Amino acid sequence: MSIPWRFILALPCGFLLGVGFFIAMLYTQFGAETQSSRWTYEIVHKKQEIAAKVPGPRLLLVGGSSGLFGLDARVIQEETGCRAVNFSSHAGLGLEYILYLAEKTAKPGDTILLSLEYEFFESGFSYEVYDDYLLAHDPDYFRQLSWWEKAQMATRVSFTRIQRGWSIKRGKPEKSRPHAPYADALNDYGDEINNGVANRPSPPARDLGLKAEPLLQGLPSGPTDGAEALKAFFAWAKANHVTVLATFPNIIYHPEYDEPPGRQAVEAINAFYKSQGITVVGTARDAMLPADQFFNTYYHLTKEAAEARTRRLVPELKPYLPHGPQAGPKTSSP
Amino acid sequence: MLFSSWNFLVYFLPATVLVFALIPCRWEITRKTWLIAASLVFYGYWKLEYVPLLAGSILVNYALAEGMVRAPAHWPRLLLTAGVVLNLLLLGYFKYTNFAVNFLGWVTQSDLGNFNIILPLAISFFTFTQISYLVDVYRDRTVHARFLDYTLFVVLFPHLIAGPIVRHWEIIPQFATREFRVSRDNFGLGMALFLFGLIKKYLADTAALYADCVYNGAAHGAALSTFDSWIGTFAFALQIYFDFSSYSDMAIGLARMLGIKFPFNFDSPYRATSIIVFWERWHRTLTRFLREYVYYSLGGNRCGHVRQMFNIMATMLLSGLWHGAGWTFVIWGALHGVYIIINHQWRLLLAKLKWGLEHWAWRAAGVLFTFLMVSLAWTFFRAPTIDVAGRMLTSLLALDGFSLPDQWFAHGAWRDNILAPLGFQFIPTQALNIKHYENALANIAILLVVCWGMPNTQQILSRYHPILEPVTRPSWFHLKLGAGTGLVLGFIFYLILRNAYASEPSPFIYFNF
Repeated sequence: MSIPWRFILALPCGFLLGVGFFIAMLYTQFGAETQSSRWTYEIVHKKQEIAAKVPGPRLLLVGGSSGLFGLDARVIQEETGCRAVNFSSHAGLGLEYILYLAEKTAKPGDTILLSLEYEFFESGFSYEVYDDYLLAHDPDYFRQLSWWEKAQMATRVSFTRIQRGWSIKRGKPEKSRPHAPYADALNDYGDEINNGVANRPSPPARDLGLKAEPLLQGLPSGPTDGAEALKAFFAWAKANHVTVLATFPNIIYHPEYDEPPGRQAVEAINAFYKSQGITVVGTARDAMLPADQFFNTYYHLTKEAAEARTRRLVPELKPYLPHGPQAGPKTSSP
Repeated sequence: MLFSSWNFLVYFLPATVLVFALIPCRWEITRKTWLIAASLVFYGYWKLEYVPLLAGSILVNYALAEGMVRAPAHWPRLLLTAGVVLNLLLLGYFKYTNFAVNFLGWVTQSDLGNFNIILPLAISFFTFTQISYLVDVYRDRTVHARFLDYTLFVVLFPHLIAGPIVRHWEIIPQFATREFRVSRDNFGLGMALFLFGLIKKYLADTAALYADCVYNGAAHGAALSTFDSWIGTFAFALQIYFDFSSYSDMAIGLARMLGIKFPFNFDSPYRATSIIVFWERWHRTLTRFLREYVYYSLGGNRCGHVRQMFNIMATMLLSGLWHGAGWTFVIWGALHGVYIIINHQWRLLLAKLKWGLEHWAWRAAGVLFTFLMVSLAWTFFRAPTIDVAGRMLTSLLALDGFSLPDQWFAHGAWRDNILAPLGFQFIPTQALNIKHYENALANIAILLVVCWGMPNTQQILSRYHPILEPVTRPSWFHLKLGAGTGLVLGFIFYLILRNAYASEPSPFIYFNF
């Protein structure tokens, strides 16, 4: 017995039906505010508010949470007189989205200091945080994605996340997480303030044993999504008269990072920035620090260590900063 | 590369099938070379370093077979012996060196250490495939194949990693037929079989959750109740059933997409009414290989009753060792040898007493008993060590008393009024991490209903002739591959692809052999 064409044709139709069904499921999730996305949302939202209040020209510190925990905009402003905002948030949002937020916020004459986690130069982080955030708080960004990107997202969002979104939409909000620090953990410059040594969790860092894979394995030689996103961002910055600088993220030092793969990764990053005409401030080795200076992960410095690290960075950073009257927020916060 | 992985589903399979479909049928060499190249990529994706080993093994075996065809007088026997010894040495070195060293250390009571030998993927399969070719050429010099055909027969990716263990006379003649192409029928049926396999793999992975909880717990010394042990045992029995069934369906389906029919490999073995029938249905192509090349070579049943029992035992011990280089596998093989010997005696007794036992109740009892015995034997197959298997069996057979998980039977009058007076013990087994016993039981029950109540894939699709042999036992249900079926299977394929995208797929159990 032979197999009819309609069976063969129905196979891709059923497949597309599946894709369409899950994309539709994503549309029904919009605005369902999950507790897992709340911290990221409040941080991003508050930083946007802070940046909006500060007149230009400004220095925006852009990156994932290594910048949020490891750089101190207040110190930079006090030491250089340049208005500074710590605009770093969460690496889980993904490089493209982090840069998109920076593009929305930066104005002509501003300077952006990129402090990007090493993983961004390789395969990036998992999409879990990004997807969760987008569905809950930025449906407009989802809508402007290409159909291919929408299909990818529909394919990777878990059943559990869809089910949670549905429950919230049906009027069953999730319980808020007790004792979680949200936007009130930021000072007026956008710096994290709850990461003092006194607040360090016990045991001090649940994943201090983790290491940055790109520094252990080296970076791929071919073009990566991260490099392509950065190139597009640099082009945007040039067209909009925004200066871009780069530095290396603070990370727990491990002797393995001095091995050839680690050195290759650092050299590749330096070479990439150089090829794009971006000035690199400081060295990767300056940002590799002892484990006792870290708060709870291998990228998060304690408040004290972040201040000290920023003070060491300032002399190298200062020559590239715009000089304007200091008119930022009063330094009432620590 | 796993059949259920993202890279296989999205890149490898479409590219391989599409290019093969686009090469005109008259370009015979190009088509075969393309499939060989794709198969080597498929193999090399795991470890590129072992591709030369596979290629070398093919070259040597083909040269020996050609030698047998061309050499005069007593040379063929010599070449066959050399070929079989070489193949077994290769397999022995990679698979059994550490086993032998450990055994020697145990005998001499000394620590001889371990060699850092990585077992090449599929070595057991391509070794057996090639031994069978050598033996067949020795028996009949006219069967030898052309080099390109032989290479394609050995490396063809649908069977390369975990079988079926195909024979050259089943596959090579198909390369010369008009059916060896991506036609509507071949592709449609192949896709249907492949998708059925993917669905079964999902079922296997759900059972694996509970089997892993119990066996990992037992290996780490966690408290184990009789109830938990049975859950773990049944869960593993179902995991390996659906895992191997899914693999077989996928292999048959993938080959069929290219226009090649594979032999039947998995014929609802848990519906077997005896252990002999079980082995006629489980991994049929391995059973066939062992029967024809080991059991018959030892004399089969032609040398008297006692010798036949010995031959059965030797064959099953070898089967155990083939599955894995460890004492647990040897015991597993020995157990099955004992089962089969007892089964033979039982048959003789029935014949003597002239009992038919054809009533459905007897048959159902036979199915249940066979399933129970096979499940118990799987304990040795799954347990990492004999000690762990011993712990499992002690618990399964309630040798320390019948016990139940305390946390699940925490409340209720029947615990205090019925179970406790009957002598049931209650053990806290939270360390096993079985969070929902209801789900475990429901999962096992559903999978058993599928095993015992549903026809197998080949029966469901028998009207489309999915395999080499005709499907002998008719089914109460046949699937018509129309638009509705296509839509449902396409939708399910997307769900499976979602799964492959989000997480690493679990490997097939038979990939380890």
